[in-house]
Order: sequence, then C-alpha cells, then structure tokens
Amino acid sequence: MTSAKRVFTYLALGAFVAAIGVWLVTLWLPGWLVATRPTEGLGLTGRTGPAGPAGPTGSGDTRRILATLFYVAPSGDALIPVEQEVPYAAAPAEQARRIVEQQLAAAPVGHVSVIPAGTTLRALFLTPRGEAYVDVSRDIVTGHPGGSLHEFLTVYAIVNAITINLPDITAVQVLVDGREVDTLVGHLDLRHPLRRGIRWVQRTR
Amino acid sequence: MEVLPTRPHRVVVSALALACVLLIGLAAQTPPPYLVIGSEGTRPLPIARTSGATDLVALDVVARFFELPLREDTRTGGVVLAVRAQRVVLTAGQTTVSAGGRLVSLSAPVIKEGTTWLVPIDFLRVLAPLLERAIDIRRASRLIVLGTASVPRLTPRFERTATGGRLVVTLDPGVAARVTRDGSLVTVRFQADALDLGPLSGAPPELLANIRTDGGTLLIDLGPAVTNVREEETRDPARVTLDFIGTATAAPVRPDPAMPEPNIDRPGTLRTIVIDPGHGGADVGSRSAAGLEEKQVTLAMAQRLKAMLESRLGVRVILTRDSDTDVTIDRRAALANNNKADLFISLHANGSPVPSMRGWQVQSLDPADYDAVGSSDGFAAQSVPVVGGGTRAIDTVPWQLAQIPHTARSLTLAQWLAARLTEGGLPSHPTPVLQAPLRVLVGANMPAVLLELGFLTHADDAQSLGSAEFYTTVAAIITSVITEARAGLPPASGGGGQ
Repeated sequence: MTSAKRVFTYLALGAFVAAIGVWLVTLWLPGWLVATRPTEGLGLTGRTGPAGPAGPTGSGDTRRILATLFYVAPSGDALIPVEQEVPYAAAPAEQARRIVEQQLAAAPVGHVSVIPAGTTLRALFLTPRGEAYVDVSRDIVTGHPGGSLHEFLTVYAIVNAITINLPDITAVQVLVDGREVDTLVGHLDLRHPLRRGIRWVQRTR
Repeated sequence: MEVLPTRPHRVVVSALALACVLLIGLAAQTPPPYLVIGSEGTRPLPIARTSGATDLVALDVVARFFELPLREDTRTGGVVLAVRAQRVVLTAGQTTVSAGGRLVSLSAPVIKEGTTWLVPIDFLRVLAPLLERAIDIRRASRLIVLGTASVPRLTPRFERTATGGRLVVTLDPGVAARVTRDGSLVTVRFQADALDLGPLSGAPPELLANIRTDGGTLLIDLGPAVTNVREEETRDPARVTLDFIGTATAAPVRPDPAMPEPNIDRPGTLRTIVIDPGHGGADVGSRSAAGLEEKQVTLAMAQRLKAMLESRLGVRVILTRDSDTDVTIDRRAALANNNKADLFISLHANGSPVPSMRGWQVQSLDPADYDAVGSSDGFAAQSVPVVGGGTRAIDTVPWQLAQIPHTARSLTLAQWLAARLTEGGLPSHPTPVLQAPLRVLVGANMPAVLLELGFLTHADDAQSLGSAEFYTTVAAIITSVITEARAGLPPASGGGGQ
C-alpha cells in the first residue's frame, strides 16, 4: 500500500468514527435518556418514548411522551381516550401547555375532535393549589355548534387531558380570551375550576 | 347538719368556678386541629385560633412540625425560617413573605403576639416548593395531605329507589375499592392512606344508620330495614354504588324529609311556574341541517306549555322570554326567585358531533361539582344587627348556589319526568337523567330541571322538534307531571341519573 493510499484509508476511518460519534451524541443518547428517565417526579401517567418523527420542539429537545387525549366516542355520548405523542417538557406548566395544544389540534385519523377548529391556546397558568387556568381563543365559542352534550364533551376533553396526564393538577378552569366566562354556549358552569370528569369517558365494555 | 361556707371559702369557691368557666370557654373557642396525612403517618397540627375565615397557626408549631430552624431577626424585627438552603423571612403585619428570594402572598397578614408569631394556614403552601413536597390544604375537611399520600375525596349521595335506596360514592381521584359485609356493617376498603369524606344528607336511618371512615376504609352501618346490599358492577374507579334492598316497611317515601319543604311537596300550593326557553337573540343555540334553530324550538315549546298549564291548571306561568331576545343566564334564575316560583323548567334542544345521537334528556344540578365553591363561599352563619341592639346569627344561602338545597327534589322530579316521557313513547337519550354543573339551574331557589327535547343534529329528532304536534305531546306530559306534583311529589321511578 502506497503512502497516499494509507493516508486516504486513515482519513476515511477517522471520518467514519467521527460520524458514529456524532450520531451517538446527537440522536441515540438523547433517545436513550428519555426512554430511561423516571416520570414519577413530574407526575406523568403517560409513558416516555424515543423521539418521534416530528422535529424539534423549540428548545431543540426532541423527546416526547405518550399522553392520553380525548375524542368523541362512536356512540356520540362520551369521550374515548386515545394515546398520542406529545413533546416532553420538564416543567409541569409547560407540559400541560403542550398537552392542551395537542388536544386542541386536529384529531388523529379515525377520530373526531369535540373542540371547534381554529381554537388556540393563549396561555396556561398553574396555581400552588393544583389548579390549572387554560386560556383559549374565542374560536371555542364562535365555532361551537351548540348543545349541552357537545359543550360537556368539549370542556371535559380539556379538563381530562390535563388532570389525567398530570395528576398533580386536580382542577381546570377554562378562560376565553383571557376572561372568566359563565359558559361556553349556555349550559356548563365555567365560573370555577372543574375536577376530572371520568363519567364523560366511555367505560371499558 | 348543714355547713355554711365562710366568706373566705366563698371567695375561693367563686374564683375556682370562674376559672373553670373561663377554661371551658377557652376550650370551646379553640378550633379543631388539622390532620396532616403523609408517608410518615397521620399527625394533628394544632390551630391557634380562627380569624374570620382564616385559620391561624403558630409559626413555632409549624417549625417543630417540619423540623425547621426558626430564629428572630432582631435587626429587622422579623423572623426567619430556614428551609434547607433557603430562607423564609416573615414580617409582622405583612401579607407577603419572602421565600427563597421570591415574594409570596398570604391570605392574611402575619401576626406577632408577644413572643408568638401567627401565620394563616395557607403559609404551608409557601413551604411546599422549598421542601420539594406537595402540600394540599383542605379546609372544609380540615385535612392537610403531604407529598404523594393518597387521600381521595369521597362525595356520598343517597337516592331512593323502588326497592329501597342507593348509595353512590364518587371518588376524586378514583382508586380501587373492595366491598365486604359483616352483618349490619358494610366495609369498603380503598387503596388509599386516608379518606376525605364529604357530608351525606337525606339518607333515611332505617336504611343507612351511619357512615364514617377509618384510615383508608369506609364503614357503613346499615339500618334495620335493610335485607340485602348489592354492589353495582362497574369498572369505573371513580364511583362505588351500593344498592340497599329494604323490607316493605322501608318502601320509598318522599325524598329527604329533612330538606326544606318546597311548595311543590305541599298539595295544592303550587302556584307559580317559570318556564325558561333556552338561548334567544344573538345566541341561537344548536341548529339543524335545515336551519332550524334551538332558540326557535325552545320558544315555541315554552309558549305551547304556558298555554296548556294556564288553561288546564290555572297556575301562574312566567316565561323568561316571550320573543327572540337576549336574556342573561342570571336573569333567568333571578326571574324565578323574584317571583317566588315553585318550579323552574329550562327548555333546550341538544346537538352532537355524531349525527346518530338522539333523544330527550332531563338534567338537574350535580351538587358535587360545587363542593369547593360551597366551602369557600359558604352556607355560613352571618351575624346581623337586630332592632333593639345586639346581633343575631342567620344562615345565609349564597345566591349563586341557591339550587344546592333543592338538588335531591330536583333529581326526583327529573327522574319522574323521564319516566313519564318514556311512557309517552318518545325516544330517549341513552342516559335519560343527567346530573351536571348547570349554570342556569344553580341560582334557582326552587326545584329546577332542564329538559333537552331532542337532538337538532339528528334528522328524525329535528323533524319532530319543528312540529306543533310534538310540542303538544311534550306539553301534555309536562302538564300531567305538574298536575300530579300538586298532589305531592311521588317517589322516583325510572330514569336513573348518571
């Protein structure tokens, strides 16, 4: 082997080792850390898993958790739980925000959302008493087709998405455009935080 | 021989008696302690005194409880509590404290009395992030839950049934439970460290003699009329339902005789009914594919019902709106309260994202959703001045919770109306009777129900909801229910609340 060939071989080997190193540090190691991180401290019931196909979540952190979100049951009189990947956040308020954003987004294929399209999350606050205040855009009112049943399902999809995935949060109050509201469309009392509504979730048959 | 006490003796005896009275008085004024439940077990936290709605606790008691060093800062005149590497600085008269460099508000100012520092009980929440431990203060039940201790809230409700009664215990959060019975004692063991049991009213002693807790166990003493107890099969960890099968002597009577008597339960005294056509004006409510709006349906139904009630029963009927106008939710209940109505019926038409969903549903208020509101806003006694001087304690009912004392009878009425609608052959919702936190009902100070007439999003229902024949059929059913109610509200039958 000539000297030039040896140099080329060493350079190729070096580049390969460097590529393996970059892959370990940037892709494999973060995924392994997420998969092994305990969730009890955060109070999450969802399972953590490796990064999904979605891109970074703003801070460059690609870790995701499996959260239980709620869509209308085929029977139409209840919600069904559906597990979905949600970007991971270390702080409970930020995690709650990401869960609600996913709940407000379009339903996955095969499911129907109970939240009017276009509804966005404006802000989310947590209190030391374990209450969450979820401020959503007015689209949740203007786009709502009405009816008490539909209103119950809309509100409890949000309330349950937070309280079931983050058990330290025991009650949720929905605000609209930054203000407390009587109801969304005339029925459900929204003047105080609502506790988890298991009865709105379809029971296992 | 009678021995009369000498003067010195009388002075001593009088002084001792006075001291006893003062001691008893002081003991009576001492508020009960909070029970602190954590992984270390259950310990009492004594309360120094109660000021208004605020429980005050001595800071040195808190320091000893959490084993935190406490020292007075003579330079600033404040007091410093060391929590791990952080400092909590308190100043007398201030409603804010500095905790780890952050200012945190308290519900009441810090008080210094001699060498004793008093803080409101919510001061413990300031310590939670510093101790890296959740601290949940439940004033109504005088519990403080530390860390991950499992202390679910239990809300018991007793309903009369055709065979006796039913005890429904709602849990928040839901935990696994196991029910056993030994003679007249039913034991429900929950996977919990302790239980936060809410009040139960209206349970007849012949069916349910007593209900109490012991750690994570709920103990139910059965009344003498119970012959059997059956647990309803459910996988819902948030609810335990027990059916009490009674003897013939325990046959259902009118619900909850201890509740304040609404006029509807006194034969012949039902005089005023308020009918509330839901929505109106800019608020159209739900809508059918053909463009029929909920506000149109409810108004047409209300006008038909008013005409029938007035002509057949001769009662006074008031509509919350008699045209296509906006009416605020508060005004609807206020109209009923101000006219001293005996009954409030709100009419609505439903909507669903699933077009196959159909059927009527009768709804009444679920009081469980107002536990936290009630404990803070309170059905508390208020002291009011009276003519001639002095004050008198009266029980006040917050207007926004006026429906709470009527919920048992409202539910009975809802179940009864559901039974009659079923007999009338009208298609019903899978859950014919529903209890929920309903905004329009919560302020009504009389038995009140909300009737969803059907689904405008269902093709057949929508067709019915636009027909005069349907209005007449439903009006006749409601009129028959009210006619019978004038003779006394009967026991609940059919339906079954969710």
